[in-house]
Amino acid sequence: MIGGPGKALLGVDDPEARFTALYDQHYRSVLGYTLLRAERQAAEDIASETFLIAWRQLEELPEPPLPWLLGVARNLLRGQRRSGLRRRALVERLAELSSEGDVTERVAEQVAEREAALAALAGLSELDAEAVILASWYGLAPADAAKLAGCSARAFTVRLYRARRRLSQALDLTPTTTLQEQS
Amino acid sequence: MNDVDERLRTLRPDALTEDAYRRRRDADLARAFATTVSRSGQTSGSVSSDASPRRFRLTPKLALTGALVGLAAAVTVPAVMTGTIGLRGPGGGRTAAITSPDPASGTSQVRPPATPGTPTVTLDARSFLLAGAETVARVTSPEGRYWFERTRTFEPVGSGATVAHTDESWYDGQAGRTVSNQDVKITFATEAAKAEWRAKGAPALWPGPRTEDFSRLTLSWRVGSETLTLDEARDLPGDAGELERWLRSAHQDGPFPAFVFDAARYLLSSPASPATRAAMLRVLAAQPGIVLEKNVLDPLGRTGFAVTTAEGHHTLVVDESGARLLAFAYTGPDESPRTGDRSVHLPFRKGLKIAYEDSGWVGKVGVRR
Repeated sequence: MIGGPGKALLGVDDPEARFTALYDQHYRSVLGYTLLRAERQAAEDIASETFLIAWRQLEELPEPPLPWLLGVARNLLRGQRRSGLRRRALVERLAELSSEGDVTERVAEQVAEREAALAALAGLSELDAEAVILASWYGLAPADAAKLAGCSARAFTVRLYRARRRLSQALDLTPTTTLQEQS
Repeated sequence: MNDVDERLRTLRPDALTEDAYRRRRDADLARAFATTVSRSGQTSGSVSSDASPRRFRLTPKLALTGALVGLAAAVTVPAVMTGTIGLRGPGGGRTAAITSPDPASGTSQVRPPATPGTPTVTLDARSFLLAGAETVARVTSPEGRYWFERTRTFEPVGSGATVAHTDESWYDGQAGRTVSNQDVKITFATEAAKAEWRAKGAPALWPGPRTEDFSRLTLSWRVGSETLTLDEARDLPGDAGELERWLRSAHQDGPFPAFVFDAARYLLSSPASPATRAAMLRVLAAQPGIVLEKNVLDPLGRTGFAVTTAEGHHTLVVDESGARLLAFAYTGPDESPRTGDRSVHLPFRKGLKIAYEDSGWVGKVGVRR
């Protein structure tokens, strides 16, 4: 799917092949991000617009390109917010997304897992929640994620650490110590 | 800690993003590739900050589309439910001039006859239309629940730019789907116009692809004083005499030949029966003042006959047999918008062209012929 034989055939210098590979590899990630901040149709339009901008600047894309793409999407989202679209709390939006996502019947266990994760996220501040999501969904390096979140790398690292610790506790994922009473 | 990440990943909307990826990929790639980019002498610039928010606009068009769908719009005038349910083309027919398929390429040749007002119906024109009528009449009416239509519209958007987009629709009289703004391609009349657009930051001139399913919506088309639903269009007379009587009763103002021309633009691309379309061609052939030109190319490069109104502003391109409407073109002055309570009349802009790529009855939404 990504590049693959097509890319080899066309050669790396072919802009259309490179752009197609970029799109195939990252469209879903960019849309996942815009869906957090915009209604579905608008989120899709913004993801498309992001790639159109990437096409115009294909020669200048940094490596890896994902943080750059997410940055463009973030700027487009800001413009959209100014135009008056309602901004919803991150966790509320995630809950909506997870319910509208699958049409197929989901396994009860999965539903329970998602709900537990949502409940745990709801206990975090908006910024902390965003930090763990950026790190978990996209595996962004702290420096890149920080740029996106609009803070310093250090602040981001602190935020991420704090958020993960709280989530671990909330999800009861901390290694349990078993106490045995001796009788 | 990895467990936290795993749990959070269950919240990632993968089903939604996968679905959108499949739906939008082709159009997004095509849209990008249609935008020419100079790959040399790139300007430098900070990466994430130079995507100015200005470049993204939820255009009023999108909003309007939604409003229309919710409204049960009566589309004025020979309308075809193209893409945006009559938004763009509803005039549906209201546009399509015969010129070049690609304004920038300069390869096209079709021009409306430069003799507006010439009161000549050449024998050729009449016999051609009558021959077409014979052909249409021989086509049997196929069955299928949904009326499917695909058009490619070329419309000037100001500042020397022309946007081409493909729109499809399925409609059964109540419910259906529109898929708008596919394969958007922007061309510029001159290099200077293009440079000016670039200098403004290459703003998006047209929204991206959009799919809308709708239900409980009655669309109707106004032909003079008459309003036709999908079913009513199928029940129009199949006899030229009767159809002309119907047209005269519907005719309100302006010269009757111009009204007939408008009606023809709608009926020839509508779900009306083959017999009705044949009758329409016969009535059109009988009108004074129409001008015929052979061997014209429509916006998609298909050869046909151009039938132009006496004043020279509206042209229909019909295929060689006369049986099929290929395109409509408008070359008159820009029209001003008019709206009514529940109707929409989209003004034609000079240079508008609509090519009718395909139409017919299909069994299911999403099925193409």
